[in-house]
Amino acid sequence: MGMKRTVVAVTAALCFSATTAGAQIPRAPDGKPDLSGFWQVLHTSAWLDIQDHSAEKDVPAGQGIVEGNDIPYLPAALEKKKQNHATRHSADPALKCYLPGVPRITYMPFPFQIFQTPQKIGILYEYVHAVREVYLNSEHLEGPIEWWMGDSRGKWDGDTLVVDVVHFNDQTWFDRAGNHHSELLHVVERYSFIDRDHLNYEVTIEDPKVFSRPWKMNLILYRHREPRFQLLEYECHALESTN
Amino acid sequence: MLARKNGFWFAIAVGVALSSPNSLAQEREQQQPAEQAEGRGPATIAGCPAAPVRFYPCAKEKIKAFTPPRTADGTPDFQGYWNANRQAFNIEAHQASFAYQGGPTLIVDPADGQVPYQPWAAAKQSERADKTLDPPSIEFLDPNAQCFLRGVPRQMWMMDYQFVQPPGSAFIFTLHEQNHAYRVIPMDGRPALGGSIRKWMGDSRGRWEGNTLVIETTNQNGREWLDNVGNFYSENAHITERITMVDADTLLWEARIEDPNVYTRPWTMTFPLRRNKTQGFQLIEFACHEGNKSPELQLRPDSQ
Repeated sequence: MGMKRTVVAVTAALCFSATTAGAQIPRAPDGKPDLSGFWQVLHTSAWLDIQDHSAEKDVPAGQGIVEGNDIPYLPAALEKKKQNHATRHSADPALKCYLPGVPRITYMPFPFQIFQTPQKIGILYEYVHAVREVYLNSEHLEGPIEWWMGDSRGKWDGDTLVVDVVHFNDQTWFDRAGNHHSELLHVVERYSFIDRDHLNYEVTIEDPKVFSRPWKMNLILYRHREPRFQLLEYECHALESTN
Repeated sequence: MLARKNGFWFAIAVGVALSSPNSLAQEREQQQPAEQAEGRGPATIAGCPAAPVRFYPCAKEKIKAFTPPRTADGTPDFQGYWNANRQAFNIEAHQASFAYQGGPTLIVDPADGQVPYQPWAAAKQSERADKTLDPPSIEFLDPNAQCFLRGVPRQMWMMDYQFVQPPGSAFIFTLHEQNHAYRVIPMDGRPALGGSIRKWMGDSRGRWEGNTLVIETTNQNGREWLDNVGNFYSENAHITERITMVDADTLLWEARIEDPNVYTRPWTMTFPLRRNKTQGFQLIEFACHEGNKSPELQLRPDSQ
């Protein structure tokens, strides 16, 4: 009897613990998880190389964010990656202060702010004041369109925000290491709470001109909890001018 | 060797700055009503004369009788897309020229419609106006042509933008099509940023005074221009915007600019904003710096 009571108590505690974890997720007035707030990655250097890499001058070492570490390039695309890598310190489009595309904007070492309404989720990035509007339950615009940041459409899958992004140009890289894509890039992002201050960020990359199969990246987004935190400006190309 | 004509280079610069590399942008340009393309507006807005200085007192009267729609949070609901339908090449009254459309002054105070500059500042603006179409050095090239953020208030009369007031949020957001600019306006009474942090868009703090959204902006970087002819404020400017709904589809926008180092007195500019009611309207990507050729086309070869 005593034994059975203990088992019941332990089970109840586990259930309770799972329930409270769910309840601790902030929720918007419409009951959806509330992603609003300030977020940033803490990865040492994913914006420089999304794969495993040792340290170089001014580049911390980093464990890659690519699932399984290998990127399934088609043969010609792999050659291009090697060329890009060889010239990366001058050829990375981000060095020209261009909009960095998706998902690279997410793992740039800058904060971003999410706002949320029932119809639309906005992501405002400090880096080059990039902005994305994620329309919910809405069709992609009819192409062909080639945008630096693509066209983002979202839906809730349970408590996970799933964002489908297409209509990219072929001008951005995934990182300084020269990992690249074509205008056929298709990105699916999944944002889900781990706890109230951490989001799991999973990205699926698909591009039949460049990769032999879809592949994934995983990151954690950390909430800024400093009081009165706010976005500032990183006006990249203005910083190079003396005007 | 291409002939260098002021207006020619200006036309290229405007074309580059306004175009997005996609068919949607071109389509939108073609769909603009003739009045917008030519910088003309309707004669009246919300039953008031459309010219900013005449609109202002009329709208002030109408505001007294109008009850704005409210958000779930109980504040006036400005959400949606707005457009000043205004180029404002020059915030003062100006004749049309080869490079600029004509237009009335936006300045309602002082009554002469002129920026009350101190003499040195008037001379600086005048030199900019003379040189900016054929700039001898980069300091005479409009920061807007370099795809820098336009600053407050210049961002507020360019192309479509939207107000977003998420339920329960401590912030009001504006998202602008032009140069994908945005403003994040804290409404929670927090203190201003420290003086060492400077921003193109300044640092804004908002509050409601009755039905009026009041936004105070400081911490400018002093590199912003107010218009294409180089009207300006310094990094010490204190700008107070007041935005009020006149009817369901019209906002009265006004800004008082204080800057004792530049002007002889504070002054106020104003214009109406009209709601964009196009079904399914969305902002589209405005990549500016990515395709910008203005600096290399506009600057004299020996000045670069």
